[in-house]
Amino acid sequence: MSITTYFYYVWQVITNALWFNPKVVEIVEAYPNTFWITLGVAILGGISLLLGQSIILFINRVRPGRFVVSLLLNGILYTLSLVVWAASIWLIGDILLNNIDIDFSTALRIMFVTAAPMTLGFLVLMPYLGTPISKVLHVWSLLLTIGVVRFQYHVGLTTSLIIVGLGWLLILLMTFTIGRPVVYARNAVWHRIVGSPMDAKPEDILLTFSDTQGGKAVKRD
Amino acid sequence: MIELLVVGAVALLVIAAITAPLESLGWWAGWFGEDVNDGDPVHLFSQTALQTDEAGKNYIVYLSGIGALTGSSIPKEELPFLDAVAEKMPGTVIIKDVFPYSVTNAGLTGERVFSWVWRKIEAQRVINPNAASLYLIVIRNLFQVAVSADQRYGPVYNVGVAKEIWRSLLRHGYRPGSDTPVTLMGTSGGGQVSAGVATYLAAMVNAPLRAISLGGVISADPGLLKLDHLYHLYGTKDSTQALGYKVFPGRWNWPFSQNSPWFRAERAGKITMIELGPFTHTGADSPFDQNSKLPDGQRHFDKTLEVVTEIVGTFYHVPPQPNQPVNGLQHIGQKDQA
Repeated sequence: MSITTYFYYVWQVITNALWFNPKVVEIVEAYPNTFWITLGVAILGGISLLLGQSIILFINRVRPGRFVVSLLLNGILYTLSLVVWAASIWLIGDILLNNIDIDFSTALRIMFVTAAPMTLGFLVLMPYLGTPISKVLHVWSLLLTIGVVRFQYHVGLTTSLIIVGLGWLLILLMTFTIGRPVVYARNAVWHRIVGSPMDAKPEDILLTFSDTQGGKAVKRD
Repeated sequence: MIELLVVGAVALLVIAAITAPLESLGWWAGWFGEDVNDGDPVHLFSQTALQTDEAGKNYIVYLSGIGALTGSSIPKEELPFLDAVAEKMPGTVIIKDVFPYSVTNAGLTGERVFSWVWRKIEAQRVINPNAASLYLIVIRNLFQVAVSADQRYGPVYNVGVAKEIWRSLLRHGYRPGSDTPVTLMGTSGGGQVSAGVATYLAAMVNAPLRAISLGGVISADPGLLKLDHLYHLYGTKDSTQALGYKVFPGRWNWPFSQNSPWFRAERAGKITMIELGPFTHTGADSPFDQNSKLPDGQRHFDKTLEVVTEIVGTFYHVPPQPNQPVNGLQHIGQKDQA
């Protein structure tokens, strides 16, 4: 498959998923070789998401080279978060609906498809409109997740909502218990690769420059 | 074909919107070389080449509307007005070299990748002040106003413009620590920038700081609370200034925004709304129009001049009390606006 054909398929998955076309999930479910295409959607979603929220990189004065690396890193980290999300839902689905046998790799491919709205994350860069756009994209992705769970397990809306809700609770529980070292490791990797503690916020500018005595300066790394 | 044009126009608008914050963010991140951390007003004073040794009695910094290409390349109707203010108020220094739509005061026709495009548009404006290409300037600067009003980008953008205003004040003989009053006079989008920069400029000048908005489109910016006073002059036929309280939720008169900086400033008596008459935003019947006349025969130009000079000259050290008429000027609430 040439690179052009690959990105054509990625584009097809994104546009069809955005319009909740069930055929895209059918195809992804039926053909295991769509893994790399759905992986592309997830990575692009992560990159675009950080691009839209790149003010955090600019405020922390990340250099252009590291800026690009940060985007790629976020693509990978976002994909890993989808893996955890898929595992959580797959586990809950397996417990609640033990008569349905779905293999994890299929669940993973389908979960990657829910990243499609996040590929529009770069739109969050827009001044003033960006913040509501960000909320719309997250709701869009959640609706897509509920939709694919319905399709994946052949269940109604309520069951799908319960699975997604319990999956979310499970992730929350893991984050604050056994997931702590994982979160620590993720932050350490982020700090090492990006080269900034990423602790400066736009509000710090208010403090620094609206104080005649000079507040906490935002330091260049 | 029409469909293609519409798609192209929308795509251009989206690209313009997405790239709008990058200039100020890149500046802040140091991608363009300047040391942004140097916000010390006294240090900047020692670095600034003075254009004059003579200090003014008070300073007006003019921030043009979104039709401006550089600090000085502004719509031609605005210059005679500024000259008339200077003539009527001897000792007042009017600063016209700040381009409010750039964090580095870099005009569009200066050192930029697309400066050749802006220069062509500037040349066209001389021949035809209503050329369609002028909308490109409006769109570009409009998005910078949105950057100033955005809670995420506003701090970066406004600190940059505040530093440029401070530099310009110093160039024009402003003495730090002299307590000399400064008035920001913003037209249209310049009104928002006036409010936005106030947070930082108030700390730099450390002297009375007020803003006069001439049909300004202003959000509920935290800078309003740092101004000693905002005088918002508006015309009843000016639908553009009315966008301020339509598009910015912090100015909507509903329970959720009563604690916004706009309403807090209003409650603190920091905002005076002044109705000029049946004025439009730009062109014919605008506050700068020298041909249109009010029913009493006064020119629009003269009415605006009268109000502006009255504010700058009379009320510098006596802030008006909320809900009290100001020396014959009509002081009305937001709900009474056009």
